[in-house]
Amino acid sequence: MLSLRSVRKSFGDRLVLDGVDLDVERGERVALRGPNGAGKTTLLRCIIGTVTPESGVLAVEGAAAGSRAARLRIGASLAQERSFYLRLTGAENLLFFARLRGASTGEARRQVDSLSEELELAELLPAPAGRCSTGQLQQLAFARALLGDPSVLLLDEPTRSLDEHARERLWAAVARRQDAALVFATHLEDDLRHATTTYDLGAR
Amino acid sequence: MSALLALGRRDFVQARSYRTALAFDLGWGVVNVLVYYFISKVFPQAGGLGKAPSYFAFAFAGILISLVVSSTASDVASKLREEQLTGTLELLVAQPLRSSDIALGAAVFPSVYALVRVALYLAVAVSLLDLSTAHTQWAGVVLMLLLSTGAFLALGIAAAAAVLVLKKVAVVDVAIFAMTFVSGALFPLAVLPGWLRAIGRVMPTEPAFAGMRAALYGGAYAGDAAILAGVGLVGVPISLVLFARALAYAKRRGSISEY
Repeated sequence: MLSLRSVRKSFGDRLVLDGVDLDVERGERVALRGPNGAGKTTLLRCIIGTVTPESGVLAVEGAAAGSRAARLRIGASLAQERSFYLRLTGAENLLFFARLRGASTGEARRQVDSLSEELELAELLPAPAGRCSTGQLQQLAFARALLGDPSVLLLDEPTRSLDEHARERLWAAVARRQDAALVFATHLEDDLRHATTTYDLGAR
Repeated sequence: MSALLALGRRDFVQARSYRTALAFDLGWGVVNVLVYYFISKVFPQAGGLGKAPSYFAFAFAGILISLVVSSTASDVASKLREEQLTGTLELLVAQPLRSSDIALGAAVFPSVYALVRVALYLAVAVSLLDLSTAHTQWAGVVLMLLLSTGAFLALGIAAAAAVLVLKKVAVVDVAIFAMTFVSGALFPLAVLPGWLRAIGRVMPTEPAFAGMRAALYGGAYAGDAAILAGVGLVGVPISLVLFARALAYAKRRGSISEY
């Protein structure tokens, strides 16, 4: 489902990723581990296509990473606290991204309503994103990653600011998506319980 | 098309959330029009204005086109720089959109809003400030506005591409101000020194000002319209290629997000 071969990326003189090889199958949950600066977020960005590696091959269900076909299959949550239109409500943010992913207005509303119920977001959605706490934005970012039922989920420290109840909801939602492949970066031991595989970027 | 509408609606909802600023912006534009109306009263015998019946009429056409230029050229570049700084540009790039969707989508609301402001200021000028429409060719006015939007959209997208690489919006604003200043927005080119007049004549804004004045006050605008159409038809595809390359550059540099 997700295939990475010899992925290499540096920023200036600093080598961040050096020959990363990784295969992720349907339903697999891969935890990326490593100290700060090990390249976890950079690797996720390379898979999404917002950072281009210097060399290597990355494919999402056969489509080259960064291509429109690959981006359509990926749901991602990166830098959750900063990536919202703060004057728009939570619902308007989600509807906007659902529309960008090709949903009609009615379908976008159905997707948002469904996620609102599943993740218990009803109280968050009417408020401007700028008035949400960091943890609330993280919940909205996770909901946004699930829009359009992507086959690959990429989450960067998905539970960092969540309370216990929200963490449970998040992992329950991931568990319900049995066919989706998940790659997530984390520093939290508790999150590792939900991984089927661990990839340690700091150990290379 | 649905992505463009979604991007335009996003900007509309954001602008609407700043109601006071929106009202102030519209009101300030009317004040700006009034300033030139009263300046014109001070110099009723101003000459060299072509078919414009007064200095106010001359400057008013310049104000309308300058609105379109600043909205399509400057606002698009500013918008994308803001998205780069706040982190939302990365989210847009991560969606299954073409780079052209992102560039054109950023222009939807500024372009429509500019046309709404033009309509408002025209209504104020005609109904309250005695702007003569005896010789106005309304189809020509609409055509000049639309063609100007297309032509300067090319400039805006090219500017956005430059901003993604250079990370400075101020350069674009200064360039656009200089371009409108020397190409006859508020005074005839004839009053400029020869060397500056020569520069003004080759600016893409010059046919927009001349054509709008011709459409408003009676004159031939087809030549100016053809120039603007050419600029838009050639310029927009080129600017979209530049924008795609700038995005690719930012992806290689890892600078899609700059926060």
